Amino acid sequence: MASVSFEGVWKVFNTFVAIPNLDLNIKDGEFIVFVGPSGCGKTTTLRMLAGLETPTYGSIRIDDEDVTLTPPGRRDIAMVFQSYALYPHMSVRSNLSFGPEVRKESRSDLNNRVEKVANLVGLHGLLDRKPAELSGGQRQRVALGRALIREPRIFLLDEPLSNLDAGLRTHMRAEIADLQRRLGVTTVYVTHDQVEAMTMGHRIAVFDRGRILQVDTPAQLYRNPANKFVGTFIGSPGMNILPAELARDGALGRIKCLGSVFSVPAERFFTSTDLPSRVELGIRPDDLHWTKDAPSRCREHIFGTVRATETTGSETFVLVDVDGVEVNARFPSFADIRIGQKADLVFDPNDLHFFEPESGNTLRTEPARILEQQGV
Amino acid sequence: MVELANDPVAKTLGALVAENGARLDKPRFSPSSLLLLFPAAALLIGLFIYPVGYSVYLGFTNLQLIGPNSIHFRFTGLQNVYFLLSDHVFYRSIWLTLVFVVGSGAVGTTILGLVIALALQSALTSVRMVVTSLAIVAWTLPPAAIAIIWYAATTQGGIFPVLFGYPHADVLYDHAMLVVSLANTWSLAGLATIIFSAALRNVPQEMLEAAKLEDANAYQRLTRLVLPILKPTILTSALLMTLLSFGNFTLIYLMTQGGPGGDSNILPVYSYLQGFTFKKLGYAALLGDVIVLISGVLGIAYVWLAQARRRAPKSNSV
Repeated sequence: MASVSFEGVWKVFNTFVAIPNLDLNIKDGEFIVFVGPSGCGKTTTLRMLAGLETPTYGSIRIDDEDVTLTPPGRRDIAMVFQSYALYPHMSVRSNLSFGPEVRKESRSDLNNRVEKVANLVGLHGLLDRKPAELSGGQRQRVALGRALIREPRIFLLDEPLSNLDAGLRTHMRAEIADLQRRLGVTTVYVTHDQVEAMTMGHRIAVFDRGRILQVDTPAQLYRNPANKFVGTFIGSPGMNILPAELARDGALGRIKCLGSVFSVPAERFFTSTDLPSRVELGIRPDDLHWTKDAPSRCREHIFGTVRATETTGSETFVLVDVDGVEVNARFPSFADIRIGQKADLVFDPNDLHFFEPESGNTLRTEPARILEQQGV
Repeated sequence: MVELANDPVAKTLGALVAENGARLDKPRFSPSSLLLLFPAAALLIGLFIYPVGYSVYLGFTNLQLIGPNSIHFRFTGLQNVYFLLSDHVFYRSIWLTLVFVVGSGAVGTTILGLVIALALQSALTSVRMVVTSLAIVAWTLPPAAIAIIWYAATTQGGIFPVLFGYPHADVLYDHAMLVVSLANTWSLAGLATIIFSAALRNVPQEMLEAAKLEDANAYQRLTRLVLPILKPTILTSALLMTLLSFGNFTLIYLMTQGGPGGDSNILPVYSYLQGFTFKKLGYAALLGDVIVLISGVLGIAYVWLAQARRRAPKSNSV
């Protein structure tokens, strides 16, 4: 169990700056997820923590001990690789016992430890098989077991589920989260899949182009994205981003968007009084309701024509053309709506997000609803 | 509606064949393929099978290079074989051949090639390119050039005796077998280096990183992970080097002619000496037959190993 801190960490590959000046604190016992698109630096950050890459500048501390230049084997860290990286010529048993053997740990209870870990990850009865004789999910369990048998201070998992099929992925997602809860070991989990991030992490760090854009709990990330990238990356389907005009009218902010004009209380809504006139408005498909199926707090009406529908079974996403702009809205499952029909949509201005068009940073204060839920 | 009675999976394979006739996905034979195979078959028979068969026959005759028996030779039955079995030079030659092909070919070349390949693995790109090129040059040099280089370097006043402070020693004369073995290893190590370099690139990097995280040191990673994964390559390479050394007649003949006192008299050299120095072509052909037998066995082993390796599951897919 350990806390981790990155202080001013840089990583430069030849002339390419992969990580510019990263600061991050990971709490003891926390399950933190690094999420972001390919090439955003999340795996590089993980590999620096593992010691497989040396930072160009900065320092990495584990429990206040500077490990920036400590070799990987001396950090007491276990890692699960995307490719599992099993030893292909060894049986499952030897794969599990390899670490304790090379570290010259006592052999007397090694067999018991192997059995215990095998039971924990569900590999009982497969100990004498070679990795080639196992299924993808079983190999994944061997990789997990190899990390568990070390009883490390920190677990690192690098996209461990990306080679599994959809059903198994959902199953393993729950299993890994459960295992972490039971063991309470500080865990860093890298993924490009925002669903994995949202379902598993205590906190999520969203990466883009080598920078951390926001570190927060899943609920906060979803309800209060710090910028446009986080808003569109988290949530599926993504947040609708629309051009809007903003004008100050006394205590109100007047917004012109989607062929409609509405106003919001400016003081409660915006952090700054100096607001740009052109902003980008964000609204999640879940917050754009069909009139026939809307909560009473939704006061603002817009109208449009249905362009496309997508049914997942539990819900239907409908692409509606509102005044020449297409927005995605969530309808109840198998809603009686057809392409070309008129659709009435309503929303609550409290659910809107406003982004500065150039930097993409949010202009909003924390939505009141979240504060209420947290009892502030 | 799906009728379960007509479900093809539920039927036995026999019933399926009875109903639908012969399987379409079996390999089919077309007589015209014989025509296309004919040129290759003619070359194989004319240039390989017939000469080998003829030389087997010659091994049981009293053919000589000059004299009356050079034209009017005749079949002498097992006479050559009896002579072979009582020929002490032959037994010594077999032993020397084994020492040469196993010591220099299989063991020496494999170890030298593996060491160079491992050293080059983490070397600078420029160093790697220079050393690899040099190793390839050593391998592509004609045997005559290799023989001259090593002859010049190991006889009296050569670079090795001078380097070690005995300028008048003739290392080639004193340790003939050792020197020709070294020359052979030196010339083949480049090929082994290339084979091992390619195999080392296929060792999964993430697996080695996983071992680093387990605190396995470089020696443990080499002996417990890299070498076991390279084992099939090491076996194949060792066998290939054995075959190549077996055929390396030129090198020894040019450096020592099998001497001094028969110290480096491996089978191909002995066969040549019997045929062209002692003019006993029939006996030389019988020695040649023994060579064909031995290399045939080695060749089959090589093919078998190569196939076993192909059947083995790929290590980097795990």
